Amino acid sequence: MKRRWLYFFLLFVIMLVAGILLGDAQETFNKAIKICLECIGIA
Amino acid sequence: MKRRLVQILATLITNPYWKGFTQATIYKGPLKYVCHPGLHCYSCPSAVTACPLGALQNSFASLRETLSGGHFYIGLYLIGFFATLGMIFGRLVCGWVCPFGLLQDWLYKIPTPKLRLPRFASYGKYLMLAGLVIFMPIFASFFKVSFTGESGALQTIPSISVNETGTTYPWFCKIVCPAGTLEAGIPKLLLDPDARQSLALWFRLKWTILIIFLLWMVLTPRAFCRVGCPIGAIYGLFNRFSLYRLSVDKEKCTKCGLCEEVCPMGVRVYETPNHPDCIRCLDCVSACKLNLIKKGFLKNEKAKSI
Repeated sequence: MKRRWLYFFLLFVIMLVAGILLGDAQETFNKAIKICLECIGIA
Repeated sequence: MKRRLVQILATLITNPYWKGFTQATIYKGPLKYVCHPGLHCYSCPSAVTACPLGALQNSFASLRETLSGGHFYIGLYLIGFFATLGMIFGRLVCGWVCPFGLLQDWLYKIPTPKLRLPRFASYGKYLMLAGLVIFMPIFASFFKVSFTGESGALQTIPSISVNETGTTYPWFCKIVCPAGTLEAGIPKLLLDPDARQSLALWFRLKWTILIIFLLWMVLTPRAFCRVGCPIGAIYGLFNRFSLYRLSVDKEKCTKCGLCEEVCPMGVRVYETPNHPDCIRCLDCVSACKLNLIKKGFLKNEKAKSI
């Protein structure tokens, strides 16, 4: 059980790191620095 | 008391950009690479982190465009973010960190008659997750009308499902999210007079949904967490596997039901201490007169678990 937990945890950490390296974090940043007018119903 | 303090500190630490209120703007610095673990709109003037739910929807919404453009922005960062936190803490974030959870805890303290929810109401958040966070952002962009313009470039007619670039919207944010309306929409309207001229039909819908939830939160503990929060739905999936967990000594438990009575999420703690709805508020731990509910990064849970 512990080993399986560890494997899944490492998998998710790898996904997190891979996402950052592939540019996901940059995309997140690009969206987060603009006010989302559609999201707040003003558009 | 300790939990309330942590909630307040977490809210203050992730909202230090007070200049956003005085200058009617939002923070645009490097902390926006980092996601808030809870539900907190990135368009909130004081927020310095990104909303993981909004970011996830945007990743799904632009999936077709980014993949066809040779990029690989498929939300790995966000899925990994949610899953990593979930594997460690489960839904602890909901109980101790989320600002919207703090608001609900405070609103419930208003003395009124209270309303308990039926258990099936908890499935609402999974519908929100599956429908508005995953399905709509991925598939709504299929419903678009495009044409070749005079310059030869493919152009898209903006519609209810896509914008002028052919990308669809973050649908949960667009239609439902009461946190976005409260934390970003209302400040925007108050701080920016020009914005009031641009109110769309969606704002009236979102305003109505916000009012309904605010009233509901007074009557029912953690109403939004129970029926509407996709982030809670995601973290809840990890409650059974998370390192931080609860356990009950079933042999000594008398099933008095006191833990269920004090639980804001209506969980029968004596049956399923790591239920997907458990936000690890630990009210049950304090309430159990026999001290049979243990919390923490439990090691030998097998001896005590159900």
